[in-house]
Amino acid sequence: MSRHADTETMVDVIAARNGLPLPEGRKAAIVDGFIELEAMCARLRTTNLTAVDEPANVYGFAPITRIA
Amino acid sequence: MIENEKPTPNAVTPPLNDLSIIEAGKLLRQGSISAKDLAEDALARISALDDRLNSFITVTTDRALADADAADADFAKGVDRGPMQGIPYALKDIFNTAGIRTTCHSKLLLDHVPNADCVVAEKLRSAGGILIGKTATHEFAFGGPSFDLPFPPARNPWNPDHIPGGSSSGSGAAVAAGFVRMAIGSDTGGSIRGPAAYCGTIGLKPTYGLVSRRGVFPLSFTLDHAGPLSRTVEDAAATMQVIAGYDPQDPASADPGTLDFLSGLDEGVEGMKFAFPRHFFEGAAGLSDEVVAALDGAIKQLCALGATVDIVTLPDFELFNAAGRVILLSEAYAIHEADMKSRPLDYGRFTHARMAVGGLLSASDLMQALRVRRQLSISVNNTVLSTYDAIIAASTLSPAGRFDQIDPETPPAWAIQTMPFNVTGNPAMSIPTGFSAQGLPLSMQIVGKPFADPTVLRIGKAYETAAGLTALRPQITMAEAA
Repeated sequence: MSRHADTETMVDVIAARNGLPLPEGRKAAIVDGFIELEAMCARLRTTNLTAVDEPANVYGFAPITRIA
Repeated sequence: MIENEKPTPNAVTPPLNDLSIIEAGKLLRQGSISAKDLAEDALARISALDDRLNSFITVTTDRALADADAADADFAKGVDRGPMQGIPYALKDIFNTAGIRTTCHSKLLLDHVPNADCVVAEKLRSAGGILIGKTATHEFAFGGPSFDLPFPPARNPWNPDHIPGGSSSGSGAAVAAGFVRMAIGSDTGGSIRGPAAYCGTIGLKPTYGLVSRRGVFPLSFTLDHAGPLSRTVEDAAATMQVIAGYDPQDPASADPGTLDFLSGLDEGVEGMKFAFPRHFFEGAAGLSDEVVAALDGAIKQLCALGATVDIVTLPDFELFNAAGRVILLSEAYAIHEADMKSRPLDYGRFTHARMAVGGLLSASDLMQALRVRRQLSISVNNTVLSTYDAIIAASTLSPAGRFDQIDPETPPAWAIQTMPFNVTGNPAMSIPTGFSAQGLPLSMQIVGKPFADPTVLRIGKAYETAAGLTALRPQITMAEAA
């Protein structure tokens, strides 16, 4: 089975589990998008995250300022 | 006609549409022109030319004329509501307007008529602004440009064969075409700065939380920003003077105290220090030599004005982009989940394909993105902006692409460099730096410290004045339209 076919199967499984329909004619672009996103998710996991990097109030400026 | 040649200063455009907000305001207060003159001029230009640009979904003629009459009546009584009084403007069609349809450029909301204004519309109305209409967007500020939606995509006034960028595509096109001096857009990954860059306008993404998003259809709760696209920096500042402010009903709203966006604009950049993360774009696919040359020229110009610019290293652009994309897709899918499950085919092909991927992400994917986001915010704010006054960066990696480059089966991905500052929330402004050999706008970003939006505008004003690019217009004229 090719990697693309594996990914397509994975997309089918996750979509079915989440109740997300994949209409005919639109699935190929979704699979392509998923492959791109998988690479991004892998990239996120290459960073050296520590306990300090917790997401509480991550989009507010106050915690950032407090560290400074 | 719309020329495909290099831009030249436009000598025949009716002078009314060439007036900035500040210039028009002076004439309005002198009584040399009326708000009705400005409104009628804008409506006439839209009527004559917008069938080529599709920048508006809805033109609010009756509302505009009523707003203009009210503004003129206030001027006659000596009532001054600030810089937007009597000034025509437009709103991206994801901003709710009471009694005026707000479609999000989507079949799903084709008949949606809100019963209340969003906060931004409410503030502009209270300030005496004239609502000219609602502008085209990528569907739900996300998928596009598309040809399978209820309205056609907006086109670039510098060359309609090219995209205007998105998702605030109609806002960028309407400002560049001179239909309005200012249009409001939203920016989740670059949707103000991208169209501004491609259309040659100013585009300010304010600090996260500085402008209320209440009543704006959300794309991504923690990345969405509302802000102006305008012809000049001063006009962006004038708009911010009206629309910024704490809103206790917007969960993201911040209260940094009252900011003055106008008074320090002319203080220049002498003695300022700027950081330039050149590695963000070096070696990137699709990078245009013209973009780099214009950016280097802008940096020389800033140095000539008395600033210093140092090359710095931040985490790589792709890490910012990955964190932003994962967060955006997760939040967008959460917002649209019910409709994505029950009526997927009512979404345009591109919106659907991109948004559905968000339904395939795991909880740990999102949490890792949020943890990285914190690291990235610290890198930008505590490491770089604790030493420097601002960051200079590219807005896009190339001039606007062509519509015929778009594969109808695959959502397009344009090479823009705006996402990092949605991830961190810093104020970021796109400003023109010149034109390509094909006559398409080039640009850069100026990025400031949190809530230092007035400083970003001040830097932009200094550069804009020195560069002298604001007099350039697309060759769209009333005479040629006749």
